[in-house]
Amino acid sequence: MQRRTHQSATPDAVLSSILANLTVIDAVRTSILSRRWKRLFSSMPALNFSCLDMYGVYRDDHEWYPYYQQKFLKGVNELLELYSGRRVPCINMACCFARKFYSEFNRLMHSISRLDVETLYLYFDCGTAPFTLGTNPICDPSKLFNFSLELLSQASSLKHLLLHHCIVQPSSEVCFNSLVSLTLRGALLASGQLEGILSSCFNLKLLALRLCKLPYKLRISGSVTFVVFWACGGVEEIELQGANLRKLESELFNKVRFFFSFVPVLEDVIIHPLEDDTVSYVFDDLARDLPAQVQSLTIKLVPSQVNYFPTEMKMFRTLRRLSLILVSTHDCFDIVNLSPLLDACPLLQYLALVVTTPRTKRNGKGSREPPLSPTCHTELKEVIFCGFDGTGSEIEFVLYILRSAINLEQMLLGRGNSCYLGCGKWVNNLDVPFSGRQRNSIQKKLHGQAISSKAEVIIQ
Amino acid sequence: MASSTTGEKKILTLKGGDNEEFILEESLVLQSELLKNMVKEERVSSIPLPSIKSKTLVKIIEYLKKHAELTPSNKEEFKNFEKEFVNVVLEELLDITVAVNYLKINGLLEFCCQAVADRIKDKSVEAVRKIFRIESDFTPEEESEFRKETPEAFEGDLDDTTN
Repeated sequence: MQRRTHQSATPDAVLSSILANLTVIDAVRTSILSRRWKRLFSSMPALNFSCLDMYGVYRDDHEWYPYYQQKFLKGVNELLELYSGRRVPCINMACCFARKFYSEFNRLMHSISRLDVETLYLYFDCGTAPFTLGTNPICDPSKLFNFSLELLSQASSLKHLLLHHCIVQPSSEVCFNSLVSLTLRGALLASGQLEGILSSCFNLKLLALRLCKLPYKLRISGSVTFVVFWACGGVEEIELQGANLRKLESELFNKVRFFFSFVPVLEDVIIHPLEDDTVSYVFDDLARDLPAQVQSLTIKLVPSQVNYFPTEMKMFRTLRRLSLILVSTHDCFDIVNLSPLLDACPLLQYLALVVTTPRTKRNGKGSREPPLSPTCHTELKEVIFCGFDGTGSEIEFVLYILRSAINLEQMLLGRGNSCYLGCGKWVNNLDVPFSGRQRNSIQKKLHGQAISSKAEVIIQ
Repeated sequence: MASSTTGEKKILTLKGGDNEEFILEESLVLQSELLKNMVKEERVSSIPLPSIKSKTLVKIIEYLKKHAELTPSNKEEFKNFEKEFVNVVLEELLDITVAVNYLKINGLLEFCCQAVADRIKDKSVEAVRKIFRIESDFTPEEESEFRKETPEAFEGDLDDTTN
């Protein structure tokens, strides 16, 4: 009888998950343990390579040993050859010295292309070399890998591509018919390059630019439905010309002007002004230029930026849904200052407020006299206030809404926070109840104040 | 097995491989996809788990309790608990991992697999065989051929079987 061993009692699924947690170099060593392990290794759905896992040198100095670096690339290539003819849906590779070994790297991309890879993440910086730690990856363009999309011309199944820390060269020869999402992180783009890339991706849905240095002028065109700019700089004019563009998210370091030249289905815009001038742009020119089909606008503000509201706000004439996220800072902040914004959105139906400012920094007195003069908000039906703490000025702001929204149906006051992380993701932590005394006190202050007979006020 | 309730809390009995019984709140086992389905769909109050040793079950229940108490403020403490949790002999860790896979407790499964992976990385082939008590079913010729296919991966393979 065969001796019972650990591994024979361990199901394949578990061993595969264990393998997935190893680096490929460690995993390949398991392929000679036994036939069973060899089979498991050769059916791994994802391969992860990192120059940090190079043999022969310490992780922290791996930047300095060209001999071992070349060997690493050779090792990866050998490995990929083992897989040739198979399907590997996902490949992750980090290699900070690829730029020094262009021909080896070319060969590698060629091997990868033949594996029917669908998700490919290429990092040209592993984040540990001492001189890149904490610095902007684009500070020194000579350290950037010059990645030509031609390298992937054979990758005909590629759906998701991420390129980190590089210069991306478009190629007129290549068509990426299968590519659905493209993320460029820490990339340097010269004038015309992004346009060139977009023109070779016929079915691209998501374009995400993170920590990129962009040219002065950009034009977004083609099939994209969702465009994200996150912590990018350099660009000052963005022309949007996307027949399918539905959602735009922008967090830029400098003041940018958007030109909505052709965006027939754009419905959702999210703006996080990192810089105060952008605030005045949002409430002035953007309010004027925002196409009528845009129904939902989310603005993430630092409370002190309220001071940059222009004295005469332009109207958001067609806006139906507005979300304001007030990011935590150390400035004192009086929420009553937001009320002019409501007057600038005459068709608003839904208002969400998320306040993450610490309680001690909120203006608690609500000492403004006389109370705000209500104008009529005929369309406003739903209001959600997260991070509500029942301070004087918050009560006053809520009263202002209750007294002016004549058709209000529901107002939800929650103490917990919900926070927007970007890219459509939120974290919610709404389950922080008020104490009975607090709830009573808030209820007493708001009781009977709603002008709308249908209004229901829910205190969480 | 009689089902009992105290107050509003439902109580459930888990029966380990050696017939030892563990009584716990039903809400705790909902972290396991397998048990959740059993409890919700079949309304059982006692679940036999003959393939899981009691010793393993004790560990898993301990985890479920800690995990249920996890809040943003005791995250650090929980992390330390997790570290201690997998700090057991490999045989026991594998038993736990297999049981967690069976019970479908997804977060813990990932953590256990990572912990096992950490044990075998940087180890020579012989050392890994010893850890897992694997007997090679390759001929020596086959094995040396495989080593030649990816020589970089086996370079510096030291004899560390005694560690």
